[in-house]
Amino acid sequence: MKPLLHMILANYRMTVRNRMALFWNLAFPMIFIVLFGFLFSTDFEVDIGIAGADTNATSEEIAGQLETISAFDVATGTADGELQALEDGNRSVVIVFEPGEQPEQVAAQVYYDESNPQQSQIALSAVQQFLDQINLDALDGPRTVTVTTAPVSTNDLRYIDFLVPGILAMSIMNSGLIGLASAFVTYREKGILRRIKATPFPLSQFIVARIASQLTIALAQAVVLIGLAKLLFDLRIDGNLINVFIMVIIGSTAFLSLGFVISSFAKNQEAADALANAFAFPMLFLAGVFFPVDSAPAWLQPITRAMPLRYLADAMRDLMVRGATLPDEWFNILIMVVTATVGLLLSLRLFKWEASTA
Amino acid sequence: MTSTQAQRGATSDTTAIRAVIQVVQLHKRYGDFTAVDHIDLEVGDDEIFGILGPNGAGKTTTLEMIEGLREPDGGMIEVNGIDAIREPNRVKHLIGVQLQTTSLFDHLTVRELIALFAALYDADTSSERIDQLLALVSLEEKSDARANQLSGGQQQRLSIALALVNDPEIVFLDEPTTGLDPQARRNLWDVISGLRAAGKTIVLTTHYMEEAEVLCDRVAIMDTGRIIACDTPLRLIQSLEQEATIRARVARGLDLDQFRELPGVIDAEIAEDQLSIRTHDVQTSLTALLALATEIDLRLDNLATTNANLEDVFLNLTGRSLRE
Repeated sequence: MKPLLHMILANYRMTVRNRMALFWNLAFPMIFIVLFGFLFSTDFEVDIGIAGADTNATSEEIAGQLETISAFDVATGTADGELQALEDGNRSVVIVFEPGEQPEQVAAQVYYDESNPQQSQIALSAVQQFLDQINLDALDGPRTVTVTTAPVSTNDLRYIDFLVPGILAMSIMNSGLIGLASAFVTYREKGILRRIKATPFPLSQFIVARIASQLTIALAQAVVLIGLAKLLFDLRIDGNLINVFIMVIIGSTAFLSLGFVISSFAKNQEAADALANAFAFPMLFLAGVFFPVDSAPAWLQPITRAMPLRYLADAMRDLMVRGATLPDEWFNILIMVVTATVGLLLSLRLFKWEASTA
Repeated sequence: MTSTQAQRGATSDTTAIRAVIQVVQLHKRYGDFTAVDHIDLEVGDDEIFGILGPNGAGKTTTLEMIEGLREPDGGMIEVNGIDAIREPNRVKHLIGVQLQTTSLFDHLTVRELIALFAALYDADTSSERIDQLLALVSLEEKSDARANQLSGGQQQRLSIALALVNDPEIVFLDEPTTGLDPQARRNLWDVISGLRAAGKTIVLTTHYMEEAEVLCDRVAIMDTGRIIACDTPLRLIQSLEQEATIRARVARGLDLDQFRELPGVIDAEIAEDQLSIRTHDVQTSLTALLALATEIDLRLDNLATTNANLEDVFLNLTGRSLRE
């Protein structure tokens, strides 16, 4: 036990002192969360000002509907007051209701801030979609405003809640694939693996030590990233965090074993980095880390389904924000376990102690 | 150095040494290339045994087969009576190994590296023991430096310290002084002599004949996978019956035969403008050479004589220089 524990300890020390790796493992995903969190959090909380809500029953109904949508923050007031608030940047859009041609009709004038096009564009389209829906319903039915259908397809899931599990999956992949592959190739290139082979310390324990330290680091990553998102953006956590951490370990093992496979193929560190990135980069965008891929075109679906990261990201998201339990995720877990097993068997077969001299 | 010389004289006369390493008909091929060609070796207790030869002679391959890092194609290796081919792990506990090129884990200090390697052997990792090892290789002041901050000589001394963590009976050093400046090389020689004084058997490879001559009790000269001579440096040199080499810079296009015919001369050659005459009697040959020079009005620049050394032994055995 003593040799193994020392090796694990040495691995911790090396990781903590390796600033480059620390950056990629911690700072990089943190930057993503902070950046995207702030960038998109405002977009998803649309401040709506309503004036003349009491014009008639229709306007009252619409105002009431708007208030029930959690993505909208609705304030009511006078037309002058609300427009002033819009100019001050406190509203995304302002809707002013005036009586329509018929008693039960209303005319809605929507004002938006031209100087903040991105934000108002999103707010505008959301409101537009909402109002269109009402009008559409009005065409069908005899009455204008019995609008009880689900108005706009805004999910209660905020972007940050979608993003954080994805970022977590991404950082697990990065430290597994890139971190492990380049570390082992470097060890081989520098002759460190041979030096270890000259001692009675077995290879299997050397690998176990590395995996043990990487798993701990992955858990630390998870704690830091979730903590950060909770602190800054009040991240929604519906699931049991223990399950999340178990999934972190399962996912890490899968990507560590893929990292091993890459380290067996790559001749030097540059090749290892390039190869690992060639695997990781497409997964970043096509595996549903930053945006959902369920709505991606049909021809893309088989590609995203071939990516192990998709299953990890899905599982993390289900466990964190959708309140799923581990048994619910049996399929995603199975994919991870298969990936880990195949990777490990392959890399043990391909393992080389020294850089080929040829 | 005088005590080392005396000791060497003593061992060279003892023929009944206890063999701690025995190698019989060991061979290894890489494709069409024969790296080690059926060699026999015997290393005695408490001696410094050197394997001398040019690059690519098979020195490292031989060492690494004994260390259990490479699998031989055939032959027998016994270390302290243990079959090293069948039970490499038992042997690994008995020996200390310094590889030709090892850079170590970055981000760990010298002290941490020594403790880590000691732990890998399940050996003593106490700070007293590490201090002791640091002192042995004179790295006390560098104990908190990172391995990649050390100079070449300090790195070699660190890797010797790592070879000693398990207090091994036998220490293998693969070209320990290659790439070091003369001062660092001499420091390392002192460290290695100190190890022998502490009762360890040392097997080292080198392509510096001076190193083999100064440091080793016995030397095996290796070339193209074969051991072509094995004895004490003194006896190897004596076997040449050559006392010295006379060297001088001369005009080009001289007739070699007139030098070869001088009394006492074994052979003579001229490479560009460098004349070298190997002789078994310096005084006679030199006197005759000077007489000849006066007679034919030949200018001898940078005239010098060098006592015969292992370089000459290698040249005599292979017809090539060790440095080629």
